[in-house]
Amino acid sequence: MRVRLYHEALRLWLQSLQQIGFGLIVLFPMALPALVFIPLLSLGVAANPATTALVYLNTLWGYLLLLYSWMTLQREGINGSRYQLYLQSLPTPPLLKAASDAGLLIYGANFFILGPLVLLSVVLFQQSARLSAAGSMQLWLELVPLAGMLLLAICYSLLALRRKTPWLSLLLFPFLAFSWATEFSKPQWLLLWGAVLLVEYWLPAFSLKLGHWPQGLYRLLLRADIDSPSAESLRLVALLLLIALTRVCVAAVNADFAPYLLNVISFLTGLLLASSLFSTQALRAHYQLYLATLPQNATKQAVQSLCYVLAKTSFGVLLIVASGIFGMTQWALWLLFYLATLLGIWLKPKLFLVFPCAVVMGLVVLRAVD
Amino acid sequence: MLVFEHICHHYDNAVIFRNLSFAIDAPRVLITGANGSGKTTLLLLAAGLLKPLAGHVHFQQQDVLLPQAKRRIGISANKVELPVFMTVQELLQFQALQFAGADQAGTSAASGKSVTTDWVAEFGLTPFMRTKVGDLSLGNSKKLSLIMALQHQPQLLLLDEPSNGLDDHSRTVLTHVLTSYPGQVIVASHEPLSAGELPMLHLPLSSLIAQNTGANETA
Repeated sequence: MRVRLYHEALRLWLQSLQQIGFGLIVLFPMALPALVFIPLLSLGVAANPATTALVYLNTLWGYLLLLYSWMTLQREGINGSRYQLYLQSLPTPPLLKAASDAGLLIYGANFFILGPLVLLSVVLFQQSARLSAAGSMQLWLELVPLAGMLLLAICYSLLALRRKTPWLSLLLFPFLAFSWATEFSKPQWLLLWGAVLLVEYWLPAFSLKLGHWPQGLYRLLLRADIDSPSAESLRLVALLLLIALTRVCVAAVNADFAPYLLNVISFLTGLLLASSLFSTQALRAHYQLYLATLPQNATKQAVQSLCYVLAKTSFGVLLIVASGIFGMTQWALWLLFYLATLLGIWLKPKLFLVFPCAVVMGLVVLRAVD
Repeated sequence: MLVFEHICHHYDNAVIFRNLSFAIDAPRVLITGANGSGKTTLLLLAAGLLKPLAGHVHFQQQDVLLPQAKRRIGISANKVELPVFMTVQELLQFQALQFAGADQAGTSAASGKSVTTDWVAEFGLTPFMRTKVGDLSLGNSKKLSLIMALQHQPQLLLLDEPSNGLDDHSRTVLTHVLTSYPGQVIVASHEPLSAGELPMLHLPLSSLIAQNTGANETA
């Protein structure tokens, strides 16, 4: 029954993703296979003893962010939230319930857990003789990064099914750890990561309390975001993922090619941060009748919601500034792409991509003329 | 006086109103009609929440689509979905702030607050001030919707099925509203409602539409 409910939720989710997916395929046909292969490449990086702590940390972070997003998107389906009251009414033995929970977790996480598990099992099986011999400590240590990846993947799969966002261990800690990546070895970083996870577990849950500020429509929009943070959380996770991937890629590619890669990242981050306007517009559309009862004209409400999106964007901008991935050129491009996307969503939501793409075309033509 | 002038409106292929014109001056009006006949749409048009495809709706000679007109009109209808993510208290404060500075008697920011408190207490919603709107029961949602329509003391009160889900006490309060509210009240309902000693003009929507072949009607 749980598997059928999960498949039903998955079917509905995939239907809603079809439109976005089509846009992605049209825009980035070459990037899609790369996205699929990211987890596969990450396994290779994690298993390779020659990988530096810097590359390992960023790869692990990207892997876990992808996994967390993947599991968060499937949360309702895996938990069977919609049918929870009915499921509770069934006389299911606790052991069977725990087994179905674990089975669905692995089924949902799929490659993210099975990948490192299979690879680790193969290595353990093939190297069993060497591992059991005396003086095999170094060999065991070389397996720690892969084993750590597996354990963390299981942890974050579980955390993604709960509503509490691991803001400290998955967002803040890895973001800051990048600056000191070379100070510790890979096993030491994993220990530190585990410790932060524990600290986070014991930290009391908190909720944002709004005082007297902001007021009016800003308060209504902010309250909506606080109440349903998943869209903004996913946007933040996607931004951090982009930052992590950029760091890994820039370190790996030829220095002459790096600016081109960063230009593409400025396009993607501009698109990502401006897409927040979609949520705000959707909220206004959902409550249009109520908002129409207020003695305020629609244009003023629209301008206020745009100001709210700009204020939200500043947080993303701060993160990019702190990561230090952009130079002046990329910031100028980012601003162009961001404003063009906002304009696109504002004027023609269904064709919004045309606007930033037109900017790209314009820049290419300008470059060719020069 | 609420005036509909040559109103045309339809949803997809279903025509709801074609060249509908009438004027209502009676203080208490009960609009009745079958399910899907357009009662709620009529109220939404009267409140300026829907823009008709043709024609105009005026209240006290002011176009109801204008933002200023919203200060004169209050509406309670299930179709007007309230923000489910806010608490009752937050939403009432938000609403009071939006209507603060109204030029009507008893609708300043301060008096608006006291008016709110009165209706909240009258309808027995005080224990639910910290409850999220989305977590309210059907009856309490209806009470909140009524309070929000009444909060700014509008001159025109539009109530769509106001007694749906209400308990006996709240029905008594609703009758009190219909009896003693100083402004004009237009109700769309299946149930017979009493306005005490005030005469309630019964207006079947079907006959209103049938009589309207372009000529204006004055009720």
